[in-house]
Amino acid sequence: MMKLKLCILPLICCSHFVFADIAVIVHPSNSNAMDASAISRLFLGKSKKFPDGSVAIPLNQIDASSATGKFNSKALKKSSSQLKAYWSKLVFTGKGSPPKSVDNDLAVLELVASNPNIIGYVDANVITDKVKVLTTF
Amino acid sequence: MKQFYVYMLPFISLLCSFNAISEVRINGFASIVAGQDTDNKAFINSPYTDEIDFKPESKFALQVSADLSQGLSATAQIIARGANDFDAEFEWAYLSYELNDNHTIRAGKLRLPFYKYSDYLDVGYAYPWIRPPRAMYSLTFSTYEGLSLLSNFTLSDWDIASNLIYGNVEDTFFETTSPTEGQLKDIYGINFQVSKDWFSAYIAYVATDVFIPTSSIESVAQISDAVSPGSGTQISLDSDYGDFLGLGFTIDYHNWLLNSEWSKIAIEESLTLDNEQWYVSLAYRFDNVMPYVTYQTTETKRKTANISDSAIPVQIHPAQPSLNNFLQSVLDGQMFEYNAYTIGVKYDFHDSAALKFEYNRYNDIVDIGSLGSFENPESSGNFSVAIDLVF
Repeated sequence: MMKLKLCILPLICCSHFVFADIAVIVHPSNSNAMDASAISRLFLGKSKKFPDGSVAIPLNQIDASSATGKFNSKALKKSSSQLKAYWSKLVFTGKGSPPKSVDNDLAVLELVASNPNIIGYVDANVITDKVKVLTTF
Repeated sequence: MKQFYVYMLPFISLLCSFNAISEVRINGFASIVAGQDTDNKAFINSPYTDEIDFKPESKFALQVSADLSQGLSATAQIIARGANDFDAEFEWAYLSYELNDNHTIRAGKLRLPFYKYSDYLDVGYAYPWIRPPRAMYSLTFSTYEGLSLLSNFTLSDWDIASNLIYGNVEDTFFETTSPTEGQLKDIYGINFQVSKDWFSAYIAYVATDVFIPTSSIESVAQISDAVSPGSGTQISLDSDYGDFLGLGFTIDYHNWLLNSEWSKIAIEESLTLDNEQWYVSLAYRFDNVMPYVTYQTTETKRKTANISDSAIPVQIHPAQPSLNNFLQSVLDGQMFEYNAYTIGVKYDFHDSAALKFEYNRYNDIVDIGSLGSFENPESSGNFSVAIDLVF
C-alpha cells in the first residue's frame, strides 16, 4: 500500500506541469485581471488595451518555439494555418498586423520584466519572480 | 531595387531594436493556379480552355506598409497578375490614420467593400476555394479612389465593424464583351459586419452614378432618340443611379465552415437588366485537410420595354418593328442564368502554404446573349489546381 502511495505522489506533482504548461505573464506592477477570452482578444488584435485602459503590447514567440503551438491551440483555439489565414486577412487589408515575435521563453521573460505594457506567454516551468502569471492554459 | 533597400533598412533595424518608433513591414502572397476546361466550349465565364493553362489566375503580390507612428501609416500593395502578363500594378495604395481606438480613416486607392471576401479577393490563402464563387464575385472592378472610414465597436460579446466609403472608379468596363472606358462617380457605400464566436454576418450597400458609354448601348440609344426624341437617356448609361445590395453570413463552428452570400445589382434608366446571385458553401476541417462543396447561381430579371410603340424608320431597320418590340428583343438578348457546382479540397501542407484541387461544373440555363458558348450552352467543366502562399 505504501508503495502505491509513493507511486501516485510524483504523478500528482507532475500533473501540474502536464495540464498547466503555458503561463500568460505580465510585469509584476500590472494589476489587471484577464480571463482567457480577454487574453485571446489581445493576441488576435481585437483589443489593444488592458482593462484599466493602458496600452497592451502582446508578444508572440516564433513558430519554431514549443510554447507557440501550445498557446495557439489552447488559448487562441486555432491551428498555425488558421492563424496564418486569420492574420493574412488583416495584414493584406491594412486592418492589423500580428504581434511581434521573439525567439524563446527567455526573451519573453526579459521583455515582460522590463515593460509593464507587454504581455507574453512562456512554458510554466520557466517562470521567475520578475514576472507575474495572469493565468495558465 | 534601390527603393527596395531603402524600405528594407528600417525593417532590418527594427529586427535589432524592439522599440523602433517607425517601421516598415513587407508582406507578400502568391497563387500559382493551373486550370483546364473539360471541353472546348469557350464558356466565357471560364478563363480557361481545354488546354492546361497556368496564366489566367496566377499572381504574385508584395505589400509594403510603413508605420509612421502616432497612428499614421502608408500601405501599398503591388500585384503582378498572369492575366495581365505579370505586369506589376498597384492594387492598393493608401494612407491610414487612426483617429482613436474605434475609428481609422483611409485615403487613396482602396478596395470596394461589396462582398465578404472583397478585401482579400486576391489572397487565396485566406479562403478555402481556389477562387471565390464566380457567380457571386462577378463585378470586374474591385478598387476605387477615395476615402474610407473604418469603425470598430464591441457591444456585450459582439464585435461590430463598419466601413463607410466615398470615391470614384475609372476603369475599363465590359472587358470580355465590349471594353469601354467608363466612370462610376460619387460612389458611396457602407459595409456593416457583426460577429461573435463562431458566427458572423454582413450587409453592404453601395450606390453610384454609372457613366459607361458602351458603343452597343449607345447605338440603340440613337435609334430610340430617332423614334422618340429625348428617350435615348433611358437607354444610355449616362450617369444613371446604380446600386448594389449584398448580404452574407458565415458559421465557423468546431470543424464546420458554412458560408452563404446573396447580392442584387441594378442600374436605373438604362438598357441593362437587374441581376441577382447567391451561393452556399460548406467545408469540413480534418486537421490540415479541408474538403468543400459549393453551389452558386446567378440570373437576370426580365425587364419590359416601355418607351414608344411607334415604328422604327425603314432606313434604320428594314423590318420596321415598333421601338418597344425592338428594345424588348435587345433586353431579352441580355438575359442569362447559370449555376455551378464545385467540389474541392484544401490541404495545408505547410504553415504558410496551401495546396488546392477543385472541380467546377457550370450549367447554362438561359443564355441568349454573350455569356456562354453559342454552340453548346448546356454545361462546361473545369479542373483547377492551386498553390497559395503568404509570406
